[in-house]
Amino acid sequence: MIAPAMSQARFADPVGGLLEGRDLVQAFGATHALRGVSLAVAPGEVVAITGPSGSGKSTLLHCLCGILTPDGGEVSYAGERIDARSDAHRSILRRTAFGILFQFGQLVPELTAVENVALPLLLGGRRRGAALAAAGDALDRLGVGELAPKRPGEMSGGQGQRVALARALVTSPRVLFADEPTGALDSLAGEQVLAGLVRLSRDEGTAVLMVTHDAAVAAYADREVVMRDGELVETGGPNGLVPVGAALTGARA
Amino acid sequence: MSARIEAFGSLLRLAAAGSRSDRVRVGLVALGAAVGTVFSLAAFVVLTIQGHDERYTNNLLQEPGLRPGVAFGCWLLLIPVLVFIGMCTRVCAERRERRYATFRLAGATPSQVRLIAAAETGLATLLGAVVGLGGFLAVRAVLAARVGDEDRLTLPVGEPFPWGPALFFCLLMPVVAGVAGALALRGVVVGPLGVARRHRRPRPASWPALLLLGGPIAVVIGDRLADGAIGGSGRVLLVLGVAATCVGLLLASAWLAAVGGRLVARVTGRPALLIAARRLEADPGGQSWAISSVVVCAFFASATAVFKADTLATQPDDQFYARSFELVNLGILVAVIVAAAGLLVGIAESILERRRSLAALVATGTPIGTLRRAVLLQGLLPLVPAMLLATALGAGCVFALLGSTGDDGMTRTPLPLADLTLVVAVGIAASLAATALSLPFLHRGVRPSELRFE
Repeated sequence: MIAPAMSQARFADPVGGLLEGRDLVQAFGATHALRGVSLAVAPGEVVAITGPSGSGKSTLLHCLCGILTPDGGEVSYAGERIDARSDAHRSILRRTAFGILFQFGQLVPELTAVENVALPLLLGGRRRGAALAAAGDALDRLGVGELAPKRPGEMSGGQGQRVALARALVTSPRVLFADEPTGALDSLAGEQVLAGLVRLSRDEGTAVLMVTHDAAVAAYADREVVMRDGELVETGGPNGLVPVGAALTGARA
Repeated sequence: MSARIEAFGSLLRLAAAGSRSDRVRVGLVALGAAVGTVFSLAAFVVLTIQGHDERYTNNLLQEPGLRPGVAFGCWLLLIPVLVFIGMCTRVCAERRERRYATFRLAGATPSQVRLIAAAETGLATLLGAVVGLGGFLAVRAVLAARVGDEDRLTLPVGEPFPWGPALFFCLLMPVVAGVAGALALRGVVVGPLGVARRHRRPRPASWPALLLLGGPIAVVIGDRLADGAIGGSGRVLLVLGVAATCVGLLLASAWLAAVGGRLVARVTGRPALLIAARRLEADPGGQSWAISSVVVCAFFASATAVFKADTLATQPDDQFYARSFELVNLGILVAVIVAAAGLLVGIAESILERRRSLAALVATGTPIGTLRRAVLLQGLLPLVPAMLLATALGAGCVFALLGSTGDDGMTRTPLPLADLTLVVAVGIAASLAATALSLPFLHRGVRPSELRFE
């Protein structure tokens, strides 16, 4: 069982991270969801973005993974700027280098679990037999191999979420984005999903960026950043949070 | 008593008040009801013409023996209209059921919720019937004003309007639609905390497929018997065979879609085809009624094409027949357009219902082109074989019928290959157009805003 509160927590923003957003600005009409947010994530790091509803957490996640193109600022992955690339290019990136996990409703209801997990591989051109075999392995690794022939409607919320995690991981992504990954689960199922995320980060060196409003979920992260009104206001780890400016000052010192 | 009236008034107000999606559904149902009313009123008016009437330019209206056929044709157009209304009542059904759950939470009883559902559909249909009646009378008055006393008539605008049957139809339709709306909630338990279904979506029945086999066999046997001593029984068997084939085409498409979807999904490695096939397997009834009505149109169109080929082969210069076949084809084209509109509503609803999982697919890197192809294939996979089958059955039945008349029509009637190809092409083109028009709903449905959970 992997417990929260990591001893090897990193408190300062990593310089030259695997994934980096710089001065991100995003508005929806008169609502300013992001007001110049900067955030970097290092390989193998688990970062939690927390904050009240409407603070811009999900918008930040969507900008960083290329679902949204920010109105201002830059997003880079592995040193390459991605926000200026085409939608098709970003789609391929999300399918190959990134894994994405939502709260619920992300599995195609008509496809079986193994077909849902195989979908990114089929989209990448993998042959049916090979894709289904790899998907079956991914389900086995997460302990839900017996769900392979079932459809999402025949699974519990926790089972569905682990199948979705298997789909996010089947391409061996370097960054995993999770938007309220345990929001619709009970505490036991939530713990299983979070344990899977942290194990992935430790074993594979995958960076995990998750949005949550739950302090217990955030406790699984190496680093927590707090958003309010479209800005990053605090950052820190298991030992406590400090205002963003203070953390940067500490890092430079 | 007054409390009951108050409660009923409140229920009617609740039925009339709804969100934007409810208003869209009501508007579409009303549109379907208006179109259906116009078709039905046209049939009633045709039947008011008395005896042989030389004022009409068209033989179909002049001849008393042909007018019942024209009226029957108008009523046949109600089939795609009813399918269209049925597809429209499914629009945003999930949101409507959530709304009903909030009524239960506020204290409404299950029977009151059913009454609200019935009133909602009934009121929408009544609105459509009134609009249809008003529009019909207005157009009729405008056309009648342009006709002089000595002018010949193209349409029956000079006959007295059949108020009795017209009003009866306008009142009957909302009652039938209301009962259908209440019955649609049979398998659904609307509780205060949400909606639960009593049972899983039933698998489509396979027996209608037997009609597709038995119908043509009955036609062939009837054809043989019609020439013999029991010719009367043979002709009855012929008609029953044609009717069974039509019913089979209408009802078997869901089963064919489910079986076809399952078979394709087992072997394909193409993501768009896999999504489309599994969707067909999971919900074959979703669009199958709309597809069925296109397919039945193809059956009648191909049958008409063979009749036309046979008639024009023997009487190539007869303007009466040429004109009559044009009118029949025009009627079938109108039916195809209404059926395609029903298909459009069905596809759009299917996309909107699944917008969260579609948006999640796009977010996780699935190209939107893959989803476009999946939507397209979901329509084409069941349609193309059904169109080919319906066209072959329609033409085959008429060839058999012509053979049974004993005038060696079998040997003389040329195969109208060009017309039959046109039938298949028009049916597929109409369905493709409906799919293309539904794609903006896909683009709207996969916006990142659909991924917000807060």
